Amino acid sequence: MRRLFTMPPQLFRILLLAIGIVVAYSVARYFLTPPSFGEYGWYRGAALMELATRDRVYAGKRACEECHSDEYEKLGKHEHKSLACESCHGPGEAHGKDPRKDNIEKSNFAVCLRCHEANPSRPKWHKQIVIKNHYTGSKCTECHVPHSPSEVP
Amino acid sequence: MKNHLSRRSVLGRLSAAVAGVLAAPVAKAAKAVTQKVLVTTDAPKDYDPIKHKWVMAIDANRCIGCGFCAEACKKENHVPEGPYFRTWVERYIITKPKPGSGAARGETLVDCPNGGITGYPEAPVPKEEIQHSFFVPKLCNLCQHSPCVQVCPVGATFDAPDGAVLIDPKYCIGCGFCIQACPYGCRFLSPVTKTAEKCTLCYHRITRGLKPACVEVCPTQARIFGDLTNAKPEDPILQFYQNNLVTALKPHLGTEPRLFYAGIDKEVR
Amino acid sequence: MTNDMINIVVEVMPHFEGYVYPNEATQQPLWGVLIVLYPYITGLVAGAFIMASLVRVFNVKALEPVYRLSLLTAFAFLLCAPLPLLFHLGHPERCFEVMMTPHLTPRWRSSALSMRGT
Repeated sequence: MRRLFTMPPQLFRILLLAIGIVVAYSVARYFLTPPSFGEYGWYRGAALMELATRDRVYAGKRACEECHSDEYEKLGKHEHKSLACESCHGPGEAHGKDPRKDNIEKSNFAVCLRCHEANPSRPKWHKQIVIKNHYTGSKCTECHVPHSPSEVP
Repeated sequence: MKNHLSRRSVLGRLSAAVAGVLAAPVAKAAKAVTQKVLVTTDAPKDYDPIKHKWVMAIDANRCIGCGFCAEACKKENHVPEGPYFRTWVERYIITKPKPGSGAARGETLVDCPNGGITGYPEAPVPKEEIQHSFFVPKLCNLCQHSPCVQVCPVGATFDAPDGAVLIDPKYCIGCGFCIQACPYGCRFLSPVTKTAEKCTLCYHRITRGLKPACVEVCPTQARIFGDLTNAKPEDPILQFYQNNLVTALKPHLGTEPRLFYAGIDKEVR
Repeated sequence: MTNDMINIVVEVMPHFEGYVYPNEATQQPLWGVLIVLYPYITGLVAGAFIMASLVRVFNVKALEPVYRLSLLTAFAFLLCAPLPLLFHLGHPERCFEVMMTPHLTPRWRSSALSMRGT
């Protein structure tokens, strides 16, 4: 025991300081690492559930079927069956929770054109129109029924 | 040598021993208290990430460049206004070669006005000069050796066990290293939360059995999503792998992306 | 005058040739001048400390008048050195996370970031 202390005092103090720093760091690390860290990997395991419990803005096509089953069935029989209701009508979660006319969009001319306006980059099998040659009004629904496109109103 | 076993020294040593024995539970209790102040969650654990393997695929032959996907993503995930995109659609126009030049193709023009959200303007070259033109939706490539996960200094971005690459918004320090590291440009620093953000495959939707918002609103099924662990043979994602020859973006970087594209050209970067 | 100034500003603003990913086409770079300041300040610290050590360790008598100042300079700048790095972070209050859960991967730079933090 005595032989250990034959090292010069300043060296002994430095050694003590180094050990003290390491101990303080380990203690701080023990207390300050978040609880679920390392559960699945080098991250907070709780983050997975936190990310999974955010609120939705879009409801999904199935949610519309509950109240609008007629339109849902009609849509499913014709060319637009690959579309979701919310593609044209906008986000539906708020409308699903509180069904009103003003928290869902009715859809309009601009939405039809988003997909059907002629563009050389679009694939050839997709039905496209050059709007100024096709129609000069403002409502596609004059001649087309969006839920069953080949039907004539 | 005098015997130093005085009452003071005995009591001192005894109390030191008791403190040593009690140290462990006291430390645990103190840790619980301090960590309640730090990050905690009360979310229920009814979803097991080990039991799923989410993946997305893109069929660029079917993309019509409507931009519904980019718009839906912006709304669903509250992406800040401005040039911040979790997913976007690019338009590639490959022009015809100059006559007599002996080249197979002309130059390639790429554009992405506002991420494709509001559709695309007139092409910059007249229709007669276009040899090929197509749209390519882009998003997080779900790399197996993601550079973004490797460089995070604190472990805030990670590969979830179910295939998505996620960011822990409560742990991210906003250094921007992962944004620099991603070779596909799919990350950005959100000016609202001051952390990095990226496509999470709409984690809050897929864990509830819904599809990501972009897949939901795509009118032509150009985006295909599925769970590889629980997929039946008629599932769209397995049909996609079965029926298409696929490529991945930037294979030379060794990131091993899990996002496969069908129908893109060599000019797509 | 204002018209010319506007023209100059328009030319100086980021002008990209070729295609840039939309997320990367930001007006301001992600890592700007704040990151550069850190090695500059640590360079000052190192230089000042070397000058001080020359006096006491290597017995260079000629530098004796600047000994105190250089030591003080080194210490003062050392205290300021991490500040630009802290300010460039989105969340400076979480900086301690780098020391508590440093991500030590084969990528040497991320370890360097952690070590730089300590």
